[in-house]
Amino acid sequence: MFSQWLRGGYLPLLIVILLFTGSLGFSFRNMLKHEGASQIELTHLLWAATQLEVEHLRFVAALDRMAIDGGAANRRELKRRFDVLWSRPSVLLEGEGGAAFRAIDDNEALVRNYQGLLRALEPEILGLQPGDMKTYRRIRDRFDATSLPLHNAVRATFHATDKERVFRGRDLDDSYVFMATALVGVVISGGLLIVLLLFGMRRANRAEAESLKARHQAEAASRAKGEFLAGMSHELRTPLNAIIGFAEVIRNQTFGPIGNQRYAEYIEDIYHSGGHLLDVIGDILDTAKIEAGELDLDEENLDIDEVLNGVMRIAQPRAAVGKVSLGIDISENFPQLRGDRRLIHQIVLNLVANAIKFTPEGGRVTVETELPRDGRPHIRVRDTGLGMTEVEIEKALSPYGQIDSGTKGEREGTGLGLPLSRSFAELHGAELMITSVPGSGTLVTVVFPAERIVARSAAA
Amino acid sequence: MQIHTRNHACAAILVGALFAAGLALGPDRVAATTDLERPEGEVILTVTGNLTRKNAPDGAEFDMSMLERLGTTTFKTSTPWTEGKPEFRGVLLRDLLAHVGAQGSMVKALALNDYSFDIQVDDFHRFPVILASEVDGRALTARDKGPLWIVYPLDDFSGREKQAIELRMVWQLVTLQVR
Repeated sequence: MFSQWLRGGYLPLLIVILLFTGSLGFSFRNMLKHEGASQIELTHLLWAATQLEVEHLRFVAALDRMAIDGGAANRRELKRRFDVLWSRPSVLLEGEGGAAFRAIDDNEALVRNYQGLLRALEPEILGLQPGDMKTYRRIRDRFDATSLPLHNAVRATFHATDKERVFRGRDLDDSYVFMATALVGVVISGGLLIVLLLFGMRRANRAEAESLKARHQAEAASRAKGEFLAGMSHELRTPLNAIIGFAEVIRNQTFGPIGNQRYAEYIEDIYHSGGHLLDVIGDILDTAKIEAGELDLDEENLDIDEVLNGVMRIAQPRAAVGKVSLGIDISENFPQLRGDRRLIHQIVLNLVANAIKFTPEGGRVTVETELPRDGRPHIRVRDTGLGMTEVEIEKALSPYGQIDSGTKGEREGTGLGLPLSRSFAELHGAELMITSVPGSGTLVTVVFPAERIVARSAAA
Repeated sequence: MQIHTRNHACAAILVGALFAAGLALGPDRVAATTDLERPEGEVILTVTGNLTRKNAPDGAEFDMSMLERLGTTTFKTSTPWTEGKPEFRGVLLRDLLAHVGAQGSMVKALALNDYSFDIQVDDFHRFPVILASEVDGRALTARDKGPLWIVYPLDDFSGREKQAIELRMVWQLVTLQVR
């Protein structure tokens, strides 16, 4: 069913769905990556930058107080503010946010200069005496000069982080749009797939319903045929049996002599013609039944030599007429077979009758049985007659073809005999094979399956 | 002779009673909290709030050697502010809080530049958070995230939890307020 699917054009749709789902997963993963670190990093960078400026201003205020008021507390506070200020630049320049900060404008140069300033002025700052205005002013001026650049650096950091935020925001928006599109894609193609599947299922159901209907019709027709055949068989045979029966009674002169020799000849003809007609009708009905699949085996355990002897008795007169000698060669170990007596009798009779028909005077027809080592029983009819070519064999085996002219040059029989024999054989699971050499003779072999052998009981 | 001995006994009982009274009526902190040793060197950390052991009016003050005496822990971790994976050494915060008998669920960490952050005391019990005073064998100073830095084993965390933890790693620590 799956390969049908693929052929049915579902494959491209499936691929489309997989592509959409894949890109959905991909962009989702992308989005998560962005979401994760980005916003926090930028915020920390901005905080660190503003803290530098804040500590700068606090330090300057402490410097002022020290210069003006002096005292141990102010000195301690000045040292403390200086230490904190000293610690700020490295937070900006190093670590994870460092690279981003250094990349903004000339932030790096500015901050490194600032560090230089702190180092250079450290001794004077820590040693500042209250009232020493000259030193104080010098220090203060140096720091004032850095105020604006410092502020600009912070502003630049703010703008850069904001721009970065916008970029990442746009990226995120794009991701969202992409994800939404992919999702819509998945939903639509998924929906399409479902619809196609439903249609396919409906079609399959309808096809199934139709085939079911066709099957019912066929069964009904077959039943009708079977009933017709049974009816026909009865309709044809009943009057025919009357004809034959009465002809026999007259022939046997059961109720007194016929009187007229000519009438005796006529009744003989009627009797034989009736018999012949019965055979022909039998063949036709059998053929029709086999074609309708209505022929069933009536199985019993058969002694083949009995069956063959029966066939020989019937064939003997015909052989005598054709001046053909008849022989029978039954192998010793030939087993009982399970089969339909009438059908097997008919097979052999057909074959023998054909053999006699197509063998010229002086020829010989032999019936043989054999149980070879492969365990499949063989029944053979061999003649020394005219033989058949490949083409003739084929024609003979086909139901409606006849071979012209036996040795008598007439067309006898319906031509159904050989095909019927093959069909009967096949009903037993057996094979019927013809080998022939034109001009020297024909051999017809019927090979039964080993299963048809009736196992000999220990008692026998 | 008899009266003399009885007078001595009375005096002894009186002195004893006075002493007991003195003990009972003495300054509150003597009765309610036990004394902590006092810092000799520079005070680098103050712990305030509900403590059972104090050495100052509002809480407990520590110098570096007092902290060292509490025993230190070491671990390596990377941080957003350092290169590579340096080794941090310091006293476990749970040990410090136990030492002062801190009663509270929250601690406000205050830094030199007036930065502050609230941390759940629970953190200190769940994780080996330390008050780092040394990084790669080098003592921290106020000019460089010292003298004390609250350090978590950051490499053990990831994602949003890691971001939250980073905010708790207060450096240039001055005060811990226990609530």
